[in-house]
Amino acid sequence: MIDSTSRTLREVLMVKRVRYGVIILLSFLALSLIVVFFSPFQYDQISYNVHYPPLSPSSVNWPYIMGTDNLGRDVFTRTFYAYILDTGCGLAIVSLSGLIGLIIGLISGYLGGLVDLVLMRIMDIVISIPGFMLAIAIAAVLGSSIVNAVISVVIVTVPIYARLVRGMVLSVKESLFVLAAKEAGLSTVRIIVKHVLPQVTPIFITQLTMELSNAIIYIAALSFIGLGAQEPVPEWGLMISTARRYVREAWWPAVLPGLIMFLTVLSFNLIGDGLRDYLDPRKKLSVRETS
Amino acid sequence: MKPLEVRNLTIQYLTYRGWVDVVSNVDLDIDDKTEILAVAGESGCGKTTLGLAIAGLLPSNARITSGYIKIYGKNTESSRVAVIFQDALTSLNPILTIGEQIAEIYVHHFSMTRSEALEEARRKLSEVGLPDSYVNKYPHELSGGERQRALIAMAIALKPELIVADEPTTALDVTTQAKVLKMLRSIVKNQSIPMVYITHDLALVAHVADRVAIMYAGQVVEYRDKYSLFNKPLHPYTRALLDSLPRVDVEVRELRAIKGEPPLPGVFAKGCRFNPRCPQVFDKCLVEEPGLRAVDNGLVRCHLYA
Amino acid sequence: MARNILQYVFYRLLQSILSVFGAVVIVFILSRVLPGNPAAAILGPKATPENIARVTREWGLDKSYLEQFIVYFSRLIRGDLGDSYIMGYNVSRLIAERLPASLELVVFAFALSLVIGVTLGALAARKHDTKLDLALTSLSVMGFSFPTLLLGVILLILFGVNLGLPVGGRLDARFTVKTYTGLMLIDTLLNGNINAFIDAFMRIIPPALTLAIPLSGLLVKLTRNSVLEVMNQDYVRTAKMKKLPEKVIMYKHVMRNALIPIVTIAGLYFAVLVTGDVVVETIFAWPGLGRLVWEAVTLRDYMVIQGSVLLVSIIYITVNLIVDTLYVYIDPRIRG
Repeated sequence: MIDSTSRTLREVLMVKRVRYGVIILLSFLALSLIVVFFSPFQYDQISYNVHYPPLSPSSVNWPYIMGTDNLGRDVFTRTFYAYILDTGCGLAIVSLSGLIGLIIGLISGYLGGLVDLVLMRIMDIVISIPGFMLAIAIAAVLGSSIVNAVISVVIVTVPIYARLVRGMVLSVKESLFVLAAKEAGLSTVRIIVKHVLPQVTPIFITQLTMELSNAIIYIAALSFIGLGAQEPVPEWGLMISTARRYVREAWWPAVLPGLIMFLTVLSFNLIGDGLRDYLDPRKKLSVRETS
Repeated sequence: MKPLEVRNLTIQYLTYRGWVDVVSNVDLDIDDKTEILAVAGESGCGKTTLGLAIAGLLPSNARITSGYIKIYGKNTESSRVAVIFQDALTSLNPILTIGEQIAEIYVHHFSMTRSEALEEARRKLSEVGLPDSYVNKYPHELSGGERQRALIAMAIALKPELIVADEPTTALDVTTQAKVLKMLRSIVKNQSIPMVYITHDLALVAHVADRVAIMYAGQVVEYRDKYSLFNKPLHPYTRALLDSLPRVDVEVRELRAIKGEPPLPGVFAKGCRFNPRCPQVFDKCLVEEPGLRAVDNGLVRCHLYA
Repeated sequence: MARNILQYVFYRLLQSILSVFGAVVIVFILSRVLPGNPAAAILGPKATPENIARVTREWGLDKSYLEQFIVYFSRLIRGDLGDSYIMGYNVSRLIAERLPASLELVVFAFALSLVIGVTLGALAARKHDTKLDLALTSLSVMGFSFPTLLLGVILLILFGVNLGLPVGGRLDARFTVKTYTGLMLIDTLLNGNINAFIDAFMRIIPPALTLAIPLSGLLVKLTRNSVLEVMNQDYVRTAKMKKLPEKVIMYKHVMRNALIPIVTIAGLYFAVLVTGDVVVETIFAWPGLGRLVWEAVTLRDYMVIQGSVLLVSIIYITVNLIVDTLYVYIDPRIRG
């Protein structure tokens, strides 16, 4: 079991894109840990009086590798604190909405009938409103905070998983071995756990990875328009939103966190995309010989 | 000049295991304009690849490593070969009407206007027994037999020098199958377009062909005219194939299938490639690969006739 | 055959009406779970006892939720999204003023991405597994990973600071242009003011690129995969068998089939984008619906937020309906 898992892992890492994604992921994680434990600055350490105008990123300004912002805070420290916060929020979003979506999808797909009809109608309605707009509306009602932003994104993204899982359950349900398991008198829960879940898992995990980058973008965008993190919390969207006001004087407090955010999103897209290709049986090289 | 001349043809495919032989040193000929040459064998024997190569339609993961194909002395690029594919549904463009798909041939090869071409397409459809109103229909609106006819209409519209028919009737029921076969035969005989007919079904070969090449594991193992082959099959594989056919004239208690599985492309036995499944295998077969030897009315690849 | 199309369209229409109704219910629920007294929240800092009483009466806030919903719904049917006490206007009018700006930006950006995405995607597919393909595919992944937040700021700096071009807003204040269509590029031309047109054109480029680059990235990838898949189809082999000119095979047989799934996904994106992108319009001070939402969020103007969400949903559902109907005409298989 462990052996086959590690072999699968090794095979997945053979896909170049996945490898690059994992490299970015691991190095950013390492940088964040270094920043948290060894940075000489606090993320909210203001030195406005010492450093104005903002210091630019250059060797002269060591140890401000990425310079300072308008309040003299260290951009590097803030950016990598934000890495933990934003990817953390992203993970929280996909795991929560993934879990809720998984449960709804399993129930809906497996039970069918009226339960399925009602649940799926609700999902349809949520999906018929553009996601970001709905997230804004919910977050506005809940009030501006990073937790509320996470909750609103969770609500908006649940239908994606619910529909995906339901669709897969429906196709698995008709398959022979589930019918056989039913004949053998296995309980519904047992059938779901032992036979349906293993079939659904790989595609589901790929979808989660792909959605992780969307979740990060959502959180940053909500914070950008003032509905997520509030000062002095280090969050990419908020940092860009504040820094864009003086971007003509200093570009780095807006662009550098954005660049790290871009690379983070890219890393998850690379991993998700590579995983999908790896799992897609049609992509595999084969002999097209039918005679 | 011969309608078809295949010499020493070897084709390889790129697979997980690298480049492997799918067709090995094949020689074939069609000598006459009204001849039908059947190429028969189990799936995976390389017959479809051979057909695609003759039409110059090998996929990008295939390559020709030796030999050549000449059609009236020209190579495949500069000759006109029509193919009637096995799966008519996927071989027709789903979003264009049948008429459009026939007419475009006339527009591009015979410089007709679109309306002239469509008129000609109607005529071709009637020729294959379809109502000419079908020019406005889409492939999914036709039945399997009708689609196959549409594909035939397309093939003859090309005014080809040679037709390759790749199991064109496998998907059809027996009655339709017989009608389509009859039509193909009459096209060859009346319009003098020679044909390579590819099939796994020797019963069909008896109806259609003039000459037969039996393929096994990428090689031609027996190559003879139809009557000699059916009266006195020589190669043990041919005999096994014929024995596995259901027959009406002799009462058989059970259908005899050939034991064992056909080999995967490129994974061939040492010596004679048929030796793992051959009922008459002897020492020599395990070490030495037999060559093609002349026998009465043809060639055979077997140590029994050395 | 024709009956089937009608049935299909009718079914989709019914589905869309249901979706719109669902959106109305959701927005209604959101408007009633506002923190504290809803009337006070709606009124914002202008909340005087008289105003609260008036709003409570107007929306029946002292009655049961069902009655409140009926009042809400009947006003909605008359096209009344309520008044914004904070911005001091009728919400429907506010939105109507802002919509053309978003529409202009999005159509421009969308056209740009379609041209870039489909051309490069088809090129990558034709040269598949070469260095060019690798370069294009890598660029495309980078493109659609680009957060508009970052892209917007970079383009703002690049165009505004480095190139010294006009950035922000739709038109310089020194130009006065009479409004005909609400679309600045067309209105400036109708006014015969070439300088204004050039200014408007230069201002639309950076925000349009910000929207177009990620979308192009996505389209490159989708087009490439779709074209590659179609190129392996049997009917393309049939077209090659007919020895048709390379161009005919590529455009008539490959591209037309490959574009069918692209149309669906592009349509979906268009439906999302058509109402304006909050982030991009905020960065470039583009006076569209997205910017309006941002302003409303900043001012906590719930009437405007909810009105916008509702309208955006209706437009989104409608565009989807149109795309699905168009799809029937593109793909004859659905008609059958």
